[in-house]
Amino acid sequence: MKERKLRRTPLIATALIVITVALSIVIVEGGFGVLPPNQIRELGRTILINTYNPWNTTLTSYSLNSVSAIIWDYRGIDTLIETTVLFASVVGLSIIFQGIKPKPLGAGKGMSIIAKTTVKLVILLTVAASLSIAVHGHITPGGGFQGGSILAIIASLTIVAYSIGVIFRSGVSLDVLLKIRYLALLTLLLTAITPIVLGLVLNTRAYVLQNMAKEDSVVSMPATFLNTPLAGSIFFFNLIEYIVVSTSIVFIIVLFTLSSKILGSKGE
Amino acid sequence: MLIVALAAVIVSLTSIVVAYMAVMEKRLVHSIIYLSTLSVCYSILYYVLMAPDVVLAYIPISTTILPLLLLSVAAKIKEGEKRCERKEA
Repeated sequence: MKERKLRRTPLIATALIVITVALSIVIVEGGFGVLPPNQIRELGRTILINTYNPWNTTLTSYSLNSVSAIIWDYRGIDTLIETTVLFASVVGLSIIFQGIKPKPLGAGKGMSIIAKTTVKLVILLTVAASLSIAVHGHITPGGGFQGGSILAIIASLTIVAYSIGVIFRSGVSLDVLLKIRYLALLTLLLTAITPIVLGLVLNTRAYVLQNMAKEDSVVSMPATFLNTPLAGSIFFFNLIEYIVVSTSIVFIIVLFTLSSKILGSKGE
Repeated sequence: MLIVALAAVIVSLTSIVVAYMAVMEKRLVHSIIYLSTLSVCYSILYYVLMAPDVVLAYIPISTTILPLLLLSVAAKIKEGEKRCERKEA
C-alpha cells in the first residue's frame, strides 16, 4: 500500500508539471485570446516620466522609486484603505483575545548558546536593514510595509531562540504595542491633513494627501532635506507605516505564540 | 540571461511539485515546511520577474512569520486533541 503510494506521488507531480507547461505554451501562443500589449501603456508612461521630473513641478513627486510614488502619492487613497484592512484585522484579533493578561511564566530554556549568539547578531543586522529599507523607500526598492515586516522577524526569532518570557521582560506588552500603533496611525492621519491646515493658515487652496504643489495650489511638502531627496510626504508616510506594520505584526505573533495555559485562564 | 531563464524554469517546476506535496502531506509540520519551501521558490520567481518591492515584503512574511504562526497553531491543535482524548478516557 505504502510502496504503491510512493510510486504514485512523482507520477502525479510530473502530470501537474506537464499540464502547467502545456497550458503556458498555449497561453503564450495566444490560444486563449489576445495577450496584453508588449509596449508600456499611456498611463504607465505618464507615471514613469513624472515620478522624478524637476522640470514639471506640478505633476512630479520627487521620488526615484516609482512604486513608492504610486503607492503614497498618485494612488494615496487606495493605500489608506489598504492600511484600514490591516487595522481592522488587528482590531478583530484584539477583540477575540480581549481580557487576556499575559504574565511571564519564568524564563524558558530556549535553544543552544550557538543559536542564541547567532540570533543576537542577526537581530542587529535586521534592525539596520529594515530601517534602511523603510527610510530609503523613496530612493531604492522597499518602503514602510516591507521594512516593518522585516523588523517583525526579530520577535519571531527571539521567541523561537530564547522564549516568549524574554519579550515580556524587555517591557514589550500587548498594551504597549497597541498604544504605539494607535499613536502612529493618528500621526499618519495628521500628516495626511497637514496640507489642509497649511492651506487654512496661508488662506490658499489645498487637498488631503497632497504632496507637491499643484497647478491651483502652492502648498507643498519638503522636496529635499539638506540636499538629499526627501520626496515630501512619501518619506513621512514610509516612516509611520514602518512603525504601524511592525507593531501590528509583532502583536499578532505574540498573541499566536502565547502559552495555552495563559489562553485557557481567560474564563477563570 | 540564459542561465537566469533556466533557473526560473527550474524553480517554477519545483514550486509545482512542492505545492502538490504541501497539499497531500498528512503530517502538519512537514506540510508547513513544504509551504515555506514554496515561498522561497516564489520569492526567487518574483525577483527574476523584476518585482523587488514585492520580494522585500514577501520574504519576511511568507518564509518566517507565516510558518511560525502556522507552527504555533499546529502545536495548539495537538495539545487540544490530547486534552479531548484524556477527557474521553
